[in-house]
Amino acid sequence: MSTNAASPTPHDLRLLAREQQYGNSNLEVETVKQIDALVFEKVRTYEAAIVEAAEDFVANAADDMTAAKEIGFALAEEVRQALDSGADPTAVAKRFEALRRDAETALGALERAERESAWHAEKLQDPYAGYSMLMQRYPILRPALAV
Amino acid sequence: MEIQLPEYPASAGPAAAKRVNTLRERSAAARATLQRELDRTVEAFDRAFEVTDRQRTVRDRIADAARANTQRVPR
Repeated sequence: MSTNAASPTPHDLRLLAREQQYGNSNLEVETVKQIDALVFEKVRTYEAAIVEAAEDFVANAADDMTAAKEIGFALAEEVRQALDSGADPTAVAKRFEALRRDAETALGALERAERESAWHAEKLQDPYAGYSMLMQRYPILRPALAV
Repeated sequence: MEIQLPEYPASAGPAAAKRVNTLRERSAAARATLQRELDRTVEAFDRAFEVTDRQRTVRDRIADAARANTQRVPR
């Protein structure tokens, strides 16, 4: 199976297969079935790729959540408890500033993770639509299905 | 006439979408928790600074008073 920028999108190919005139109904049924199977195979490959990308993303985002939790504990135990116990604020200010910088980094990473989650979820929810959109946007990637 | 096409039978995609959505909820919760910890710590600093400011003021007044007393000591 080669690629061909001039090819119809896989979705359009399925429609075309159904609009063609056939010599007999068996040939029509077989051709339509074959085209669907070939397109679905392509979508399946795409689906596997986006699932893998999503799993990698989830693993990385889990690290950011762990970091956020650790920074939260450190703020409570190393800074707040000390202050509440009467420590001089200047003595823990340096530690707080370091933790605050890390907290800002973690907060930014978590915010990005939420945005990216929405992007991944939309594609994963409907792989066929995602694949069709990709083929629409990048005609060069359209497979020339040989049936 | 619109042609009805058989739907693509999705496999792992929708299940992965659920995992990603769960992650989004957990991430939002973690972000809110960390922000709360930061805010509470700043509030703790505020309280602690109030105490030290008060102590400093008292110490300054005592020092001022001591200096004033020293000046009043006859030679």
